[in-house]
Amino acid sequence: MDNLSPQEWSALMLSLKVALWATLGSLPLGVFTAWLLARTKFVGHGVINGLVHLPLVLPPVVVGYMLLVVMGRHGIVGGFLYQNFGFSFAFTWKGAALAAAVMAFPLMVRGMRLSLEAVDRNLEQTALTLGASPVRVFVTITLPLMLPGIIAGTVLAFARALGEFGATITFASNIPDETRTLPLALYTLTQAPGGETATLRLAIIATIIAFMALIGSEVLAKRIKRLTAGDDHE
Amino acid sequence: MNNAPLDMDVRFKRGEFSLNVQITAVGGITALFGRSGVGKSTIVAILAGLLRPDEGSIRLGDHVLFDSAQGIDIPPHLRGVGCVFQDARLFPHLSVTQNLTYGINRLNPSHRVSTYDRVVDLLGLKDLVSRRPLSLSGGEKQRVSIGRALLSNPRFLLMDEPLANLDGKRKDEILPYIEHICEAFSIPVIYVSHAIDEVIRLADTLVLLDSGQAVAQGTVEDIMGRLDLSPLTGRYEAGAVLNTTVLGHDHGVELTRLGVLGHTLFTPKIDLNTGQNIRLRLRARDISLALGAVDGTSILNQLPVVVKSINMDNGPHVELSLAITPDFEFEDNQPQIILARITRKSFSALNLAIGKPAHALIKAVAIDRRSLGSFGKTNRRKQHPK
Amino acid sequence: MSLFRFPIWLSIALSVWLYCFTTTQALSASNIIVFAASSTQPVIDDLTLKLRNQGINIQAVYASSATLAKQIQNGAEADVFISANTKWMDVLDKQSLIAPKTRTDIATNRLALIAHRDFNNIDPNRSILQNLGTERLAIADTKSVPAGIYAKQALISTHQWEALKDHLAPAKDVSSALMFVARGETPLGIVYASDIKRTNNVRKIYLFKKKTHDVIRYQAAIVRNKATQPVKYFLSFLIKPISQSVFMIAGFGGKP
Repeated sequence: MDNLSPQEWSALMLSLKVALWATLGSLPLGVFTAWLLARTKFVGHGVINGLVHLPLVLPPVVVGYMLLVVMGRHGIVGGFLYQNFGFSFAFTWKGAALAAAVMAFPLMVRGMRLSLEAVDRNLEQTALTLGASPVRVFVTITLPLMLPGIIAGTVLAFARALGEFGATITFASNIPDETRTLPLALYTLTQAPGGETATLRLAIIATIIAFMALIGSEVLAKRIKRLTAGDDHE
Repeated sequence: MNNAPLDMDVRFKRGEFSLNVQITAVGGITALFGRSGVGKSTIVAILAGLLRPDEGSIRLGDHVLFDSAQGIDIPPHLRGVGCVFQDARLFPHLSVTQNLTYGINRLNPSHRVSTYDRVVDLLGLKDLVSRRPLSLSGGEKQRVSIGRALLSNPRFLLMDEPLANLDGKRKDEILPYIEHICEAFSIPVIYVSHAIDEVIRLADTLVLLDSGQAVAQGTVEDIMGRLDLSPLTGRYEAGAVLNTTVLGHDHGVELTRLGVLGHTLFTPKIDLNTGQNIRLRLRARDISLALGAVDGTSILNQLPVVVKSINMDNGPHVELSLAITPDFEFEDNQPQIILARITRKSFSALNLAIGKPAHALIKAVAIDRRSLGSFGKTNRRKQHPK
Repeated sequence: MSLFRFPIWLSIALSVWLYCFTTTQALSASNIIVFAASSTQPVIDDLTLKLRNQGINIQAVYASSATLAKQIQNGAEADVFISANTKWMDVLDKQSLIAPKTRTDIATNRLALIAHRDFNNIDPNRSILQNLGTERLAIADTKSVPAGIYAKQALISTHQWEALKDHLAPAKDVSSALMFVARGETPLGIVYASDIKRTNNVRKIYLFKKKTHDVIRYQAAIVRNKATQPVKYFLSFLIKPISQSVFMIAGFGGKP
């Protein structure tokens, strides 16, 4: 691989930083949401489920627009943050991370929810009878057993966050070193004539990273599955 | 606290199934016995707090675990109940030791090490502690499961068909362990089973369940000796239970002598010490009747009996319950019952009737290890409300 | 099945299907796909309504002229291309992707500095940078999007580019840039004069003098091999007085 130009390097580092923060930041909420959807019944369950999946089915630009409406300086949540804490997502890597997090959230939740539903509830009940509080049961039994799903969901979300474009450019615009992640850098290159080689280089880098993430998650998930494989009934 | 009675009076309905039970368990091992689907596992879930009855109350001594009238429903993790299920339900991501000690923080810290050592010793777990659940056999898993429940300092133990998933050989291996711990820890046990031989072996009290109701409660011997209940206690396997004492062994012929009410019964040699008490179950179909003692027969055991009750229908068989006539020294002891099943033809031929004396003939060969309940069971005679 | 037993539901289903089938055939004959620069959206939407009454169905795709040109280069199924500058039209022309004889000027525009309606601290006599303070200036991507290219020219002409170039919020098209100002994410932005009318949340500060940038020429052309009767009609429709007045009302200038 040729040496990367400073802009390419900056885009790469920014992408990793944005995707990492997006994924880790939404991890607790992802686990909670997966638990909420898998284990509880309440009025509005379907609404929450729909909301979580919305970024999957909406055009990313629409999601970006909605982010502006809600999280922008005059938005419902963003306005509160801006007026009281002077905090603004606009045009910073935090905005890019938020956009990536939102777009990747449904993938994260889906992966986690599936593995949560596969956890044997008998084991949880047994833990209760042994005197463990519901919280302790969740932390010591449920979480470890759903770990493969957590990993799978997280890595998928990471890969998605790496590739996020539409919502990012609409919500956070295209500022080098702040919001110009790999996809935006690729886009910028394609808009100008003669950027073919650089484009290809960046595209290959992006692909390799995503690939490594996916393979890494498979390996990790398999390892953990082996450790926590359930009882076989005789 | 160990002798605190467990009082359960609940009603539960789901779809076609409905449960209405009143059970009192006063220490020792109380067996809940009945066919599959009769509601045993539902009762276990209700006792553990995993299922909420529609109505009723559950009390353990002074502790109220559930009372629908007062709106009390103690959650499972606060009930102090230890559960052992049919499938061992070991936590696959934890080691055997971690499984065993999962609930140990309910135990007084100063007792933890000693209790742990004791449980490991009693259940023969020493070689297993460093392994992972995945690598254990079914019997080993079940022993760990029992140990884990014991180490959580339970107020009472719930065992829901713990041996149902094991084959005969492994069952025989584990039964002694269960006997030992029930002796050693004196925690009240509710033992659910549909296998009568486990019940005979382990239980002090027997609760018979049928169609979501507790139809009879009493000592094992009493319940097994009732003719009217024999459809529920075993049909073709039905038979009464005797309390016997080991008198000695005839080593030359590999036989053991058991004493019951002054009479001697010969059985194939059992590994027990002289003086030990043991329960003996005699299947009704293994009992023949004669009007008097018989000479020149291979049948070693002949007990004088008196007919107590008769069960006759239009089929070919008749069932009788017979009280053993005690040898004169033993006249004050509790009566002991034998059930016999003979053909109607023979019944008529022998002219048997209630109150008539006869002799019960029992082949020594018919008595096997399966028929034997453990030592000590016969000593615990509690008062039971009938 | 005898006629009497023919299920009602099946008849209805068949009829609906037949109707759709035949109607679609008719429609596809005058279904026109227009790739149009995003700033022309209000106008083209309006003309679409007018043309529907004449039986012509317009499907418009709005994005920056750069994005649309790229898509046409990669074989997108457009019938008409409307660009906000001549550069992208030249690119396609050179690659013989449009029918060169059909290139038509259809409108002009002006460049405007706009502000969020609540942002009152603007002194038009001061530089943009001074007015921004620590905030950013919303602008379309200056390398490729026509609105951005014009804006950069204007900033260079007014000697503000060097100072501002690290304080930009580059958007992917002028509509996005407009949105940043309208939502108050940036206090100021540079968009087309015609964009001011598109939202109530912005107000014009001033128009850049015409000499500070290239003439903003909107051109339309028929994509190669797409010159059917309805398409040609649409192209000619764009310069008819009725369409031109729509452009005017929207804040564009008439064809140059």
